Amino acid sequence: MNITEEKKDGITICNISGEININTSPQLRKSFESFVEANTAKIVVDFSQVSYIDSSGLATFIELLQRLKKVGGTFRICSMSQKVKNIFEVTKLHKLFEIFDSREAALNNFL
Amino acid sequence: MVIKYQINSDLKNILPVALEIFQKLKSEGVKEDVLFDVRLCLEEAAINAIKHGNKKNKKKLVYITVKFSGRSIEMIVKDEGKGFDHKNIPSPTKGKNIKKLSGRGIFLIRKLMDSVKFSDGGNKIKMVKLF
Repeated sequence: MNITEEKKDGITICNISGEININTSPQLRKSFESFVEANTAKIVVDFSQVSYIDSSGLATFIELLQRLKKVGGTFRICSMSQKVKNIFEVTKLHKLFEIFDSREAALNNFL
Repeated sequence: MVIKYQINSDLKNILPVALEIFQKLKSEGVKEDVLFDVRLCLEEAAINAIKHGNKKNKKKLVYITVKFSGRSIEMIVKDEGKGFDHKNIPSPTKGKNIKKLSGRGIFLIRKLMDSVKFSDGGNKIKMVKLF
């Protein structure tokens, strides 16, 4: 898994590529530490290059959303593959997270 | 085709085995979307076996068997733990459970597989995917 960051219109875009699984979830949690510490208010997590997610990955995102909200932040998720989206839908987590089909739609939702 | 593995109870042992099984099934012509579900459920079952079954005791083994028939994939994951009450697992989609950080592994397995059976008091799971 690889994570890169960029900024656009005051919104932090977090690009994740590869697999979010029990081995890589700790790395994801660590990367989000800086967002929590910096009270980052608006984050778009781009899933377009995420090929796989398991229950530990789902749990990590639930934890990160809860921690970010405590410091006044939040994130939107965008551009999931159909298989990854299916995992969120089966577990009903698409109701907990704000998920958008495209990066533009997620960014516009923050504006 | 029948593939059998024995791994000791270290979570790091799951991924190499899962990827090896994934490649073997892929070479048999199993489609990517089926492989995604099969791999996810195999890994979730193995994680449960190591964490909850064998309590991460590295002296205890997890036994994995995968049978490919051309029309179905059968996976059996067995641990050396005491088993558990698989009939009373709260749904992770109900009420406040949606925000819980655990309890989705078996739920996903039941949703993504065509048949799921527990035996030996809960320390053996048999999962079947038809296609």
